Amino acid sequence: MTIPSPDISPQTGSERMPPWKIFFGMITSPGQTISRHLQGLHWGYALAVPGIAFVLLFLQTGLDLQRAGKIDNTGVLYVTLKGLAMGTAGMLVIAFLIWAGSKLWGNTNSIADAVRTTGLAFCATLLYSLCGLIINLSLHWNTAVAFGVTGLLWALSPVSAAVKQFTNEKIAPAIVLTTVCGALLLAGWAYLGGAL
Amino acid sequence: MKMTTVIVTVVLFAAFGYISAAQKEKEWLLVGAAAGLGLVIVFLLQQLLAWSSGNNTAAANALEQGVLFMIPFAVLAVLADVWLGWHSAQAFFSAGLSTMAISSGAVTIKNGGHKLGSIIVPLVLAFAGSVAWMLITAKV
Repeated sequence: MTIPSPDISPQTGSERMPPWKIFFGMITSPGQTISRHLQGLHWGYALAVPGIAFVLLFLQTGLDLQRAGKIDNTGVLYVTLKGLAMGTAGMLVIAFLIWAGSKLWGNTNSIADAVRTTGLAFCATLLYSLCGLIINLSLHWNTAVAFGVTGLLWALSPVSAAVKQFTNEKIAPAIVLTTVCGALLLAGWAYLGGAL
Repeated sequence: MKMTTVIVTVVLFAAFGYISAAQKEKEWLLVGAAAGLGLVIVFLLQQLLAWSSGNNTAAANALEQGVLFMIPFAVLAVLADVWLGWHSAQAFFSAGLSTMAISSGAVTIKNGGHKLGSIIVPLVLAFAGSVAWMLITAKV
């Protein structure tokens, strides 16, 4: 049995761009990258970005707690799985919120577009998580908070660009939705990471 | 520079200063220094964007939008400080400043600005602003 792979080729109206350019484009000029290059990318690929980012981030939380003698290997695995849940199911909730919220301001994009843009907003978080894990493992530093907060916050810039585009360039709703999404992300991370 | 930009800048930067000043003796000095730093950064950013687009009015409009996108970071910094007990205003400040630079730059590019002057140099300026913020909070 053959499983068809998802079509990630750009559709009509979007320009071809290599994945690494999309990755860094989402960090430096998210609005432009979203509007010009992301129409053809399968939403599942986009969701993998926050999925991996949060797995790496929560793995650091687990390693920090293990180093402090608070949890064992099974505990680290459990914390990491919570990261996977937040990076996938949590991001679907955030994407739905952006999609539904921006509907009030005339958004005509599909829910798949919202998942795609929200997921890729976490490119910077993935980069931070990866750097944090390398430092955590090589230097045995506690990195979860330092790299976690910074990585999460860096995701808000592309999220705000996406929301602005979804609300047809309306500033006030974009700011409100970005703030709500940021608060949910912080609360989710604090709750699942055990800070609440 | 637009009056909205000046007011929002002073309020947001002063808020960051107030959060960072908690449990310090010279808290109002830090609030004032933060507001002053904000005005300097915004002034420099507007000059950059005006140079990039060749249009002072377009730069002022872009900056007005960009500054507003720092609001979520200030709100989250307060939430994190009061609700979660995370005293990490520096991280919120740096990310907020970069977002302000990127948002203003994106609008400037739409109005004919070039990428170097609208995104890359403003990001360097945001980084320098974050370093200045670190030095101010450490010294005051």
